[in-house]
Amino acid sequence: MRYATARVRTSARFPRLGALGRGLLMALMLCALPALAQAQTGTLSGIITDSESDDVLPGANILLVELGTGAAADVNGSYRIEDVPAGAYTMRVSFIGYKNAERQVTVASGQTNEVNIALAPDYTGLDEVVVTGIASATSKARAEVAVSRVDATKYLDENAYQDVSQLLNGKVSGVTVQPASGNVAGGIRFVMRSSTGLNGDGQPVIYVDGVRIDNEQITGAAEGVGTGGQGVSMLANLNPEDIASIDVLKGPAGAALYGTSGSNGVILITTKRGQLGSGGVVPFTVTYKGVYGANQQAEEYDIDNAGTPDVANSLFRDGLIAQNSISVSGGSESVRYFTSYDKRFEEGHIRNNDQDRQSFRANFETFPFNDVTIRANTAYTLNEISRPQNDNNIFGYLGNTLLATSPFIFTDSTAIESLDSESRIGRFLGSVDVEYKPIDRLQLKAAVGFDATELRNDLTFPANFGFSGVTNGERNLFNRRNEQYTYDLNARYAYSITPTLEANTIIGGQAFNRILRESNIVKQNFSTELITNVGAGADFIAGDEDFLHVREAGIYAQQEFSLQNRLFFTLGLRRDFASTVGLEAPAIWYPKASFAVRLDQFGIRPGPVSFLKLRGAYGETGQLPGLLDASRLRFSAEPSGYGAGAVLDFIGNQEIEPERIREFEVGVEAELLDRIGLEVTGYYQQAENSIIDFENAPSTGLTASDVPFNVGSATGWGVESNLSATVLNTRNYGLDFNFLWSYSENEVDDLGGAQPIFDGFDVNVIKEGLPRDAFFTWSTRATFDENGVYAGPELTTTDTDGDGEPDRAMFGIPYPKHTGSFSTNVRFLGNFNLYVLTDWAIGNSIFNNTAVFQKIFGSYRKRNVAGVQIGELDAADVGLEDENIEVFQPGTEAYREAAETFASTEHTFQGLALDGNFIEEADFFKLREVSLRYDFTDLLRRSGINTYVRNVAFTLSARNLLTFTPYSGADPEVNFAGARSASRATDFLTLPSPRVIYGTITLTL
Amino acid sequence: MNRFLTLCAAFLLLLAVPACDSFVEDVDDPIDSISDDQLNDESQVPFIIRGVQSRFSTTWDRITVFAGGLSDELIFDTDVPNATFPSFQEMDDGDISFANNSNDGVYNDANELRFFSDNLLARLGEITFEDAALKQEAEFTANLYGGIARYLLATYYGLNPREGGGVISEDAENPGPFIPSAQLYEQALAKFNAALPLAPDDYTRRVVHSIIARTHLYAGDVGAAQAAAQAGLVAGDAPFQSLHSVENTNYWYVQAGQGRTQWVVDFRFQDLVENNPEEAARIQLEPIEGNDGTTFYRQALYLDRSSPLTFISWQETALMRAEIALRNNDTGTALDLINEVRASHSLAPRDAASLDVLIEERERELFTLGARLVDQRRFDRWHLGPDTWQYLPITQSERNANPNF
Repeated sequence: MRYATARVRTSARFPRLGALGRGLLMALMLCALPALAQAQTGTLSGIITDSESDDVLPGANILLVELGTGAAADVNGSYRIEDVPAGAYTMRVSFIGYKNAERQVTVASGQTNEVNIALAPDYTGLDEVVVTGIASATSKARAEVAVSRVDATKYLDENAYQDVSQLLNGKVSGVTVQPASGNVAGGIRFVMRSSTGLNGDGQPVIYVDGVRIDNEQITGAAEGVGTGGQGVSMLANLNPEDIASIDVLKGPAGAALYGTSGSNGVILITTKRGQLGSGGVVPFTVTYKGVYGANQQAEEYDIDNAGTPDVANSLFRDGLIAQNSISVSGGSESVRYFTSYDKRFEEGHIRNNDQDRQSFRANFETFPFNDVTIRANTAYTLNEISRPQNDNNIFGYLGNTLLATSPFIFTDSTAIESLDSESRIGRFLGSVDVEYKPIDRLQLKAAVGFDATELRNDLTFPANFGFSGVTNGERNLFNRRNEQYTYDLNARYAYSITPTLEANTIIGGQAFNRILRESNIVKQNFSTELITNVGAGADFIAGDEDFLHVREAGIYAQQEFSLQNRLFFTLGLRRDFASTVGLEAPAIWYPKASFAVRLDQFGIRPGPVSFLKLRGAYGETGQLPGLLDASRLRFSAEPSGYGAGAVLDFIGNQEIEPERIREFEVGVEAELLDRIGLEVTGYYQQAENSIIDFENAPSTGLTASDVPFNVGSATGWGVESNLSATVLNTRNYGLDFNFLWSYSENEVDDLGGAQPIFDGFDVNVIKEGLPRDAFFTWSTRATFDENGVYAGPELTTTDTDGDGEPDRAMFGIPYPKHTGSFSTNVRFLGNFNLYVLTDWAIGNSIFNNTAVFQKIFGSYRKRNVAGVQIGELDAADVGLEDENIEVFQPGTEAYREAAETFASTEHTFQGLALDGNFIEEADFFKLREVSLRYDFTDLLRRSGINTYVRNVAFTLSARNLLTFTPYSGADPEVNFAGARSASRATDFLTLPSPRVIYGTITLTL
Repeated sequence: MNRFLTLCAAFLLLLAVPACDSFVEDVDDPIDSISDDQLNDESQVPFIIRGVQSRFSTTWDRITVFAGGLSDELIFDTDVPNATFPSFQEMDDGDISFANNSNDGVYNDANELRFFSDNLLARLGEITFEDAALKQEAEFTANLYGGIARYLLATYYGLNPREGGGVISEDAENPGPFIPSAQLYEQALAKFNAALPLAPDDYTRRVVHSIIARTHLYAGDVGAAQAAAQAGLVAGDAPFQSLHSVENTNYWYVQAGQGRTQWVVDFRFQDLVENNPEEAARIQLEPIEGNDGTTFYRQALYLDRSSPLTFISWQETALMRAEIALRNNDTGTALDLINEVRASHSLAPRDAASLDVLIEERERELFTLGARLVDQRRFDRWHLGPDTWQYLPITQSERNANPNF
């Protein structure tokens, strides 16, 4: 038997720390010498086991709290700590997935004290260390804010994800992560809690290993490489296989010290690290994961939602998914490493859509001295993404097959197929951080990170095909280089004020520097399709470049108190600086305060409750104005037939300052019977000084941009809950489930007198008294004459506010009020595991703009049938002559219903766009993820070939297997204008999400 | 120890404030825009002038396309390949929503043209000039295009389907009221008259006179129109045009021509040019096959993104004079003028002049030039129903943001 041994060091701990350090050291040693000379030591040893299964727990950590030292259990769960000075100590034993245990132990001189400890499984994750703020991490049991951690490795065992959004969706209460379309590598929109802030695009700030990363969606529409609405997500460049965990701070209460831009929450992604092997075994782990599968059309189009459904369906395919991922990790006492190479090729379920991503990662962690840790995380990704033409686009596959009753009336099918908007991306993501404990209880941490993305997108319209607006072919080139530097420095000092009152003081600073350069060129008139370099185009069409340089910085201080480990209280403050804040704006301060009370420690433990905590938190953050918002008037140069001329470019406001968002949250967390966890959090958010863009009256001529003013306010509130339970956990059978439910609402309170702010399609609005981005438009219903004969449509509203125009009405909101998910793991027959995730949304609507255009092009079947039924349309005119549609008699109920359908499928009336007629309920229930895994490890062990192969598993998985929705279109989750637009939940010839079927083999050596 | 650390921390935080301040301010300026005051320099005046002209060109081409669409000159039909914009359909039907986003763009541009012109005039007081000619050119440009902007609003925009006029707001905080066309024409004329003495040469002066004549004519002041037209462009003079480039394209090419064909011409033009090569040279058309097999026709006058578009010509001036002569019962002069215009296209002379003949000649000579809509209103030849728009509506944005509505 080999023991994990550790010798207790009571002597020098930092031998090369400069003159001051050495001096201090000498003094300490001199003081300690007499004690050393007299020291009598003993040994502690024992075995750490699982309290339920009695299995040994290799790798469990044993710490003698008073000495700050300990050991790790070896492969047999045994530990041994030698040279422990005789005395009484607190022994703390911890292991991932188990509850911490503390014991009082005594060590007698020259003796070995055997202490065996059985750890109880931590089914509810209370002892998991989670991030609670910018420089604070604590166990969930002590957290003062709502925290959510997604343990990525757990999900990656059973699934293979296209991108990080799939890793998050359905796993965090109060956060939805939605792709805007079924495009592979397409844009992703996060909806964080009630999205109360009115400014910005509502997206959280994302950090990977401490580096603030570029999370933009690149559509390239303005640069000539657009594809009708959908973009390429920069998150698609992150390899999910490299992710160890994701912590989510959902709002200002948790993210206050992240300062401005943290108002929509913060997502903290931690990549995998090498693990220290237990028992002195030199660990070296090689893991291979192979994935093979297909993206498929989830639901076929039919005559009810497509003009030419058969042609539309023929454009879909089984898009190949092939992924090979290999990682090597391990480490010794002084160095740990994780390296990986991953290649994922994935074809979309419609032609001209694929992604070919290769990523490399090398993470190192080294401990040159006991009190110094240096980490370096580096990753490089090469990604090639082809986007299909769709959405608001005459070159789109769906636009040419869903609208009219004959296909490809805008663009020939071969011409569409010849279009390939290809993005080639190289991304480097790296960070180095150093942790140093110069003295006991003081921890200094410095980090620098860099994220550079180089994107080149080109789109060629071949010269041998005809495209509207293109003369003899076109070549578009778009280059984008984004560099982001993140600097972080903080100090944390832990001390005791009284024996029962402990405190932590944190001070720190953060800086961020971003430089973005973009350029593009468009040329037309190519003599041959065989030569496509931009120089071969005879006609210059357009060329431009963009440059952005912004910096942000902040300093913060946080004071944490802990009374008897049962009462926790924190105060914090951040001062923020940014290039984009107007010079006349005041200093920006963001405060926070939070508390937690362990009620169970005060004896409040009703019934089976084993843990009960009440917490509350308040925090403020903000959302920065635009870079030039504080300029008065800015002019740019417009090329014209007269030469380049000065035209107004921007109208700003010198007094602009950031929007401020306050959040108060209160939560209760409980654990029942040691295996049921319940967490409920309520929050209330208030946005003030929201920047409302005032549209000047066009008659001023000042319409180059809207003018920003800090006049808006909004409120949001919601409840999030999480119920998890481990019902059964034996060697051969296990059953656990997790149920998430959240509810949120928001309301725009004040626009400071501004007119409602509409999206470009005049249907989503920001208006006082309505939820943000609500659908706000008009609709019609039928009128009848005295004989019951249909007499045309009428508006469903009148002009009650006397503004001379019929009132608009609200037709729902583009995001759900209720979201939830249910996931379960069923382990059976020892080695089988079934994992199921379902999620749902309730209370959301979608604008079916595809149907509007189907009406315009005469292919909207619902309307055509109704029109024939009431005699308004001739069956032969709308292609229904073969269907023997019954013509109803006026006055009958069937007639009235058909007339109502006919009237409510008009798209304009009295000059008003009747979008309300096409807004539908978009609630859905999706069987999102299903996987069945078989683990061959036992089989290997039994057959005796486990010497080299530690683990083999095969998993069969599916995604988006079933969808239940009242929506008449193909997918209720899409948006035609991508994932950042003010237009939301609008389906306009948008590619639905695919169904994904795949098999995964994992092999660990 | 605690006190020492606290002092260190406080000292560091204090130092951090100025450091953070200077860090965030140390950023490079944008490369694509400048602040307003950077334009207050004589060297920048040609750049400002070109900005005014550029906005004129983006306004004029679209206004003429939309006026053509609203009139009986152009047709919008979804059987034409790539004719998809509902906003164009609304214009063709004369049932235009206030929020019609195609109309939004050109209404904004027309008003921006007004602002750029007036802003140039106001800015001249801030600039010290050494080059008097440059100053005069700037002043002329500001007045001419300031007048044109007002003329365009008066002619093409309306509060109601049958009530023309626009809005001018000098103060963003306090937008102006609706101004009926008649008053806007007066304002336009004041600007044109201010431009006249600043015109650099006789030709340019004749251009301004022709524009003044047209403004009077549309405003219904035949007498004043007559005097101005007499001093206007004469046979052989080049037309005054909006200039376009590949990046500032002629909208006829972009949406009603070879670029994309959303608008086609009314079939009567094809009937007219068939078997009439001279007329076919004046009204240049080309066929385009519809999705339903119908052969439609689109204009073939502007075959290039950068094709210029006439704003006023000697031919239009001659036809104005002919109209005035007819109104004064001088059919002989009218016939001569009409035939002079026809002769410039090698077309056989007309035998007699009448209002119908004149209207026909205007429709053909001024094809694509925004005149047909005005003529249909002036001569009561409206082709759509009683409640339809005869103007482009003042937009929803104006109605939302302007408390006078």
